[in-house]
Amino acid sequence: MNAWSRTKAFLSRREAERGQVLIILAFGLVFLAALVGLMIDLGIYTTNNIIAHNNASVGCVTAAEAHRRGGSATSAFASILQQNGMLPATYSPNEGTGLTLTRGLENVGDGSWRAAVTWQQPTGFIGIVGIREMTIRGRARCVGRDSGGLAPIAVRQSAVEDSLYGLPPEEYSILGRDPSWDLADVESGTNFRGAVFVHMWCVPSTDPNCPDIRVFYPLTEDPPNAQTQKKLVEDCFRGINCSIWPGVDERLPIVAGTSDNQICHAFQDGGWEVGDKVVVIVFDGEVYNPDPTYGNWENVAVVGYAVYEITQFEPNPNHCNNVIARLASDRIYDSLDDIPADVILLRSREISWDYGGPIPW
Amino acid sequence: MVARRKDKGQGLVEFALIAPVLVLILLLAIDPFFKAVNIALAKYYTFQAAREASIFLADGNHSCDSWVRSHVSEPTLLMGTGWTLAISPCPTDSSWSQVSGSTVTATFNWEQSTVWWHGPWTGQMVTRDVFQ
Repeated sequence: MNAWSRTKAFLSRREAERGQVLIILAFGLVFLAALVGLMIDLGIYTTNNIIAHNNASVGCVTAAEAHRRGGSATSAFASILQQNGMLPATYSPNEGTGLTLTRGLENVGDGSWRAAVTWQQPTGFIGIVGIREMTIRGRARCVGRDSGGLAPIAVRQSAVEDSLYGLPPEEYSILGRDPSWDLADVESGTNFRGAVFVHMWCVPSTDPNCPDIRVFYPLTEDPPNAQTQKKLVEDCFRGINCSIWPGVDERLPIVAGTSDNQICHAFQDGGWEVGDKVVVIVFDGEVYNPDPTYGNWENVAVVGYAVYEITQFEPNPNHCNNVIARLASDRIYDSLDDIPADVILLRSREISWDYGGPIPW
Repeated sequence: MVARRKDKGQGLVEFALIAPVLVLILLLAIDPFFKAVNIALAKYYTFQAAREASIFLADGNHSCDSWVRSHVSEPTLLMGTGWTLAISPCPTDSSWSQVSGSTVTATFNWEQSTVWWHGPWTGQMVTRDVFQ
C-alpha cells in the first residue's frame, strides 16, 4: 500500500467514526438521567411513606384517646390529620377493612383501632416511562389506654401490704368512709375520704404542716377555690388534665369538705365501672393534721403506687357511698413506669398492625 | 500503524467529554436527594417529639421541654449546618402539665449546606399530636 492509499484509508475510517462520542454521550445521558430520576422518585416514595405512617399513627392514637374520653373518634381523627396537612381524600372514605384497610379509621372492637391513609403521589422522572403516579400508604394500629392514668385516690400502705400477704379482707373501701374500714392508720379528724389532690403538692420542707403549696398547670390559683378543686378532682377521675406524677416522698393535700356520696358519684361520673382497674397512690398511713394556727392543708405522704380492681359500689351503684376494690398488683410500685402494660395500660399507644393476641392490659 | 497510533486515547477523550456532564448531573441530584432524606428525618423527629410530649407526665422535676428532648434521638442531618426544635405548648417550667385533648405542635427548622446549588437551603417540618 502506498502512502496515498494509507492516507485515504485513515481518512475514511475517521469519517466512519464521526459522531461516535455524540452517540455514547446521548445514551449515557439518558441512562444517567434515568438512574438519577429513579433515585429521586425512590426518595420521594420513601419520604412520603414515612410521612403517611406517622400521620396514620397520630390519627389512630388521637382517635383512640377521643373515644376513651367519650368523644367522636372519627372527628378527632379527621381533625388532627387536617392539622397535619392531610387532605380529606387521603383518609376518607374508608377503603378495605381489617388487615386490608388502606384508608380511614376502624374500631377493631377489642379496644384497638386501625387507621390508614392513602394518596397518589405524582412521580417525577419515572413519568417518562409512563409511571405518572405512585401509591403512598401509611397505616397504624393502636390501643386506647383503659384508665385515666393516676387516679387521685390514696390507699394506706398497711392495707396494700396486708393484701399482698393475702390477709383479709380481700376487698375494702378505697374511696368513701366505711364504718368497718379505716382509710388511714392515723387520722385525728374525719375529713379523709380516700381522695387527694394531685395538682397541689406541699412544697418540700422539714415542716410537715404543708405551709406552702406548689400548684401544677392547668391549676393557676394558689390556693384554688372550692369549685376549682372539685372540678380538678372530677376531671382527674375522668383521666382528663391529670398527667401528673407526684413522686415518692411528695406530700399531697387531701380532698376535704365533701361527702362520701359526692366523691363516689364523681368517681362514677368519670366512667369507672365494676371490673375496671385503677392506679392509686399508696401513702404511709398517716393523714397529717397540721397545727390549726400554722397551716390548713391536711396531707399524706406518697410511698408508691398500686393497681386496684373495682368490685362494687356500696350500698348500690345508684346511691354510691363507697368504692370497694381489691388489690390487682403484686407489689407497690416506685414509679408509674414500673407498672407493666399487662397489668394496666397507662398510655394510648401504637401496636403492631397484625397483632393477634389479647390486647395487653 | 499510524492510524492505530492516532486512535489511541480516543476513549479517554470521549470520557473526558462525557465526564463533566455526568458529574454535573450527579452533583445536581445530590442536593435534592439530601433534602429529601432530611425531610424524612425531620418528619420522624417531629413525630417523635410530638408523641413524647403528648404522653408527658409532670413529675415536678423535669419540664415538658427537657423531658421530650431527652426522650427523642437527635437527627443526624445530611449536610446539616444547624437546626432548632420548638414544641408548643411544652414549656421549660416544671410545674406545667398538659390539658388533655389539646394539640401539641412540634416544629423543626433546619439549614443544610449545598454541594452544587446555591445555598444554604432551609427546611421546616411540623407535626401535631394531641395531649393524652
